[in-house]
Amino acid sequence: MEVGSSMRLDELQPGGRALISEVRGKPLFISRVCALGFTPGTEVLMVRNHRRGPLIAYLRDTLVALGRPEAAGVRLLARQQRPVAEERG
Amino acid sequence: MQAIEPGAELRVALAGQPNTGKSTLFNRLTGLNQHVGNWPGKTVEKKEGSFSVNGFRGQVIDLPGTYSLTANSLEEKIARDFLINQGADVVVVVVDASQLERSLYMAVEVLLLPVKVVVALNMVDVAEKMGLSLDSKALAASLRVPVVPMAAAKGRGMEELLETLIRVSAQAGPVQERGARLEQAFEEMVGSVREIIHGAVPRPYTESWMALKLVEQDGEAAEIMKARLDDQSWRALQDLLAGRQDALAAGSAARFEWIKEALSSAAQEKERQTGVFTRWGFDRAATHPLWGKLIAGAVLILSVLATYIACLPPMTLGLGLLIMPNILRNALSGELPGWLLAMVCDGILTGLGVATCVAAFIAGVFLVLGFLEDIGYLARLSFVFDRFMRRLGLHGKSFIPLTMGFVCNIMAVTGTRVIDGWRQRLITLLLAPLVPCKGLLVVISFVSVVFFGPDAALVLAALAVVMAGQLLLTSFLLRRGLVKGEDCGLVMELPPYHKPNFRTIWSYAVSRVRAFLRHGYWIIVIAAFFTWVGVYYPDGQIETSYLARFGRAVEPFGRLMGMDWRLLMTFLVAFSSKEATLGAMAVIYGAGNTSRTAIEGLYMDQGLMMNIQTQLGAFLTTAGISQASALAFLFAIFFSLPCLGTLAAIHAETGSYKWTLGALAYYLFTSVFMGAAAYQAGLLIFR
Ligand SMILES: Nc1nc2c(ncn2[C@@H]2O[C@H](COP(=O)(O)OP(=O)(O)OP(=O)(O)O)[C@@H](O)[C@H]2O)c(=O)[nH]1
Ligand SMILES: [Mg+2]
Repeated sequence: MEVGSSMRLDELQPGGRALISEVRGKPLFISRVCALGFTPGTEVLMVRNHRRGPLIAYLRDTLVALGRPEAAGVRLLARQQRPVAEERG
Repeated sequence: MQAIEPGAELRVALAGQPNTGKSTLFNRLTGLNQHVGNWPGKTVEKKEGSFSVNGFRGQVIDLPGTYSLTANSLEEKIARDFLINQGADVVVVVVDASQLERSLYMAVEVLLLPVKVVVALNMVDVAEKMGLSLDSKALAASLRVPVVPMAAAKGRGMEELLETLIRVSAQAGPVQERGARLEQAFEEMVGSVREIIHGAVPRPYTESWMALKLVEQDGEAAEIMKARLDDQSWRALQDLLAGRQDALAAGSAARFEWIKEALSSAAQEKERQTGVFTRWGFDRAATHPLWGKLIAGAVLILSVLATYIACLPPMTLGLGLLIMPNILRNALSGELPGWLLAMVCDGILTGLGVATCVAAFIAGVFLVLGFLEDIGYLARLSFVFDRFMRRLGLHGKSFIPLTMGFVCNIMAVTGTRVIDGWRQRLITLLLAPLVPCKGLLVVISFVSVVFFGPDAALVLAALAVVMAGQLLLTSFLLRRGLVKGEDCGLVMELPPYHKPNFRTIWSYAVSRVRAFLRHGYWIIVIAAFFTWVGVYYPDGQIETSYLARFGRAVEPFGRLMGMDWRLLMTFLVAFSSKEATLGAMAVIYGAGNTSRTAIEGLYMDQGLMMNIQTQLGAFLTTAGISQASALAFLFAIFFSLPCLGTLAAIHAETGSYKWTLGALAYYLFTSVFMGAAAYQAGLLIFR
């Protein structure tokens, strides 16, 4: 895996959306984060992210607070400028 | 599984993610017919209850709220083992209709097990308000289990749920396997694993579940199979599974795909950002780095006020017990032998009074805490103080238990159950004795005002600064090396706000108080009794009592801190209970109009302050205690001998003598060390 090719969740600006590419960390962390909905391919919306302190992301109808070090374990595919339209019908 | 006859017992388990309304449903079903205990050998709460409707009697068990059923956390393992071992005839998975996609995740986890399932589609009232229309029939059809729409908080859907439970439990025959949908995600991998483990899977596990969990790198599944497989098969299995660290995440993604599919027919399309964001206006402020802290501060202050009001009624009971000795003594002196009267009054009633007052406080605190939790605000507190707690090497979830420590350290220690991740929890509960409880704060402020007058503020400031330092140091020591284990940091749902449900709040507080009455209460009572024995025997004179003899014996040691036997005795009493400290001082220094062995009515702060403030203050200043000794005393009891009740709580929560005695030894050492340092400093300052 090339280092630096992906963005970390804590780098996503408030209001930004992106797709999750992978989650890294210990099994407990991965299982917790995945069960809350952070699975590869899911779109997250950053709701609150200050330079320091924990952040809040929104996905699957849920607001999730993540500590800053924890958020770094969630990797994003790429920055997406436009909101992604829902494609379910 | 046999059909349930009228009159037979139906065993129902409630599973579901946190905040989906399990406890609300549990309370609806059982009323106050419930029992709270611990899972055997674990410090996770086990709530059981019973109900009886139309001749059907049933037992309900409220499983720990968990997001999934992996083997990675204690709660999940408990829920999973219970379900796998057929602990229930029917499993009700409670899901939140307003957060359906996420809360169905747990339903899928349960569906993978060979158990009868009913999905309780809870909070449909909220979903309706959000303009979400859900077709429970369609959902039931695609999940292939009954789905009952309901609103537990309002009692909606309860009959249908019960009917469904009875109907489902009566179905004969084995439960169909439902995991095929997931196995596709791993293509032939699951099949290959199944081939290897075929015939070796111990009951009650099923082959398909075991195979799936093995693929998903589940540690416990691997352990079980390692013991069952021969070397060759085990190696083949490992080769097959190697290098699939991503499988856990892939499996989760597949579960969500399954859910999406099931929902595509059941849920009407909706605007993505409604619902959760309808109250974002308040959350925007409540989670703001500055405003959020101000709101949190205001909430905390209001909470303290509310706690005092809420605990007032039961507190009168405790205070009544504390006044009793006065009445008894007047009424019965001369009629009873002296030792008996003293034992009843000083040895028993005072202890009961103090413990009752603490219980009253616990009731108040948990009513308020339960309220904050129930409306959904509590998680915001953890969020707002996360950054602050990180400076101590902890994270946001430690904030609430440690804050409760200001009321009572016993509560702080048991309160650490909100923290997920054993390591973080252990560190937090070992730090709890550093937080000065309200009993201690009364002693500290009283003694410092008596000895230092206007300079008391300086003394208190010094204590606060040193406390910050010791917190940092202790936390550092614990994190580096002492405490091992796993921790997932702060990963926390911020639940949507709800109207408070007073039934839930009430039963929460009741269960906490009951837990205290079972344990901590009696420790306080017993400690008070033995303290009395120590000051009364052998001859009813405190100066020559056992405790005094002990104090004299260790006096050379006390010289280090400039403390004579009387201060040392006070110190020992503080170990039994911080609330007793001033009362003991009054007796030991012979203040007040009480008999010289009575630690009467002086235990609790309010009564205490009225009774002895003036006399004790005057006495102490003429008792020949130097300012340096007083300073030493303050530092020694502040840093920070845990009381017996706290030690007992540490033992109950860790189940380990090593940690309990380790904590005692460490805090005893810091206490003596700080006392000695303060004495030396005092000698220089107050020459
Ligand atoms: N509007 C509405 N609120 C509900 C309903 N059921 C539960 N609630 C509220 O949802 C919140 C969470 O309910 P709980 O019963 O404490 O949830 P739980 O699943 O036991 O949560 P944990 O104990 O954290 O696992 C509370 O504020 C309840 O009052 C419902 O049907 N409708
Ligand atoms: Mg609950």
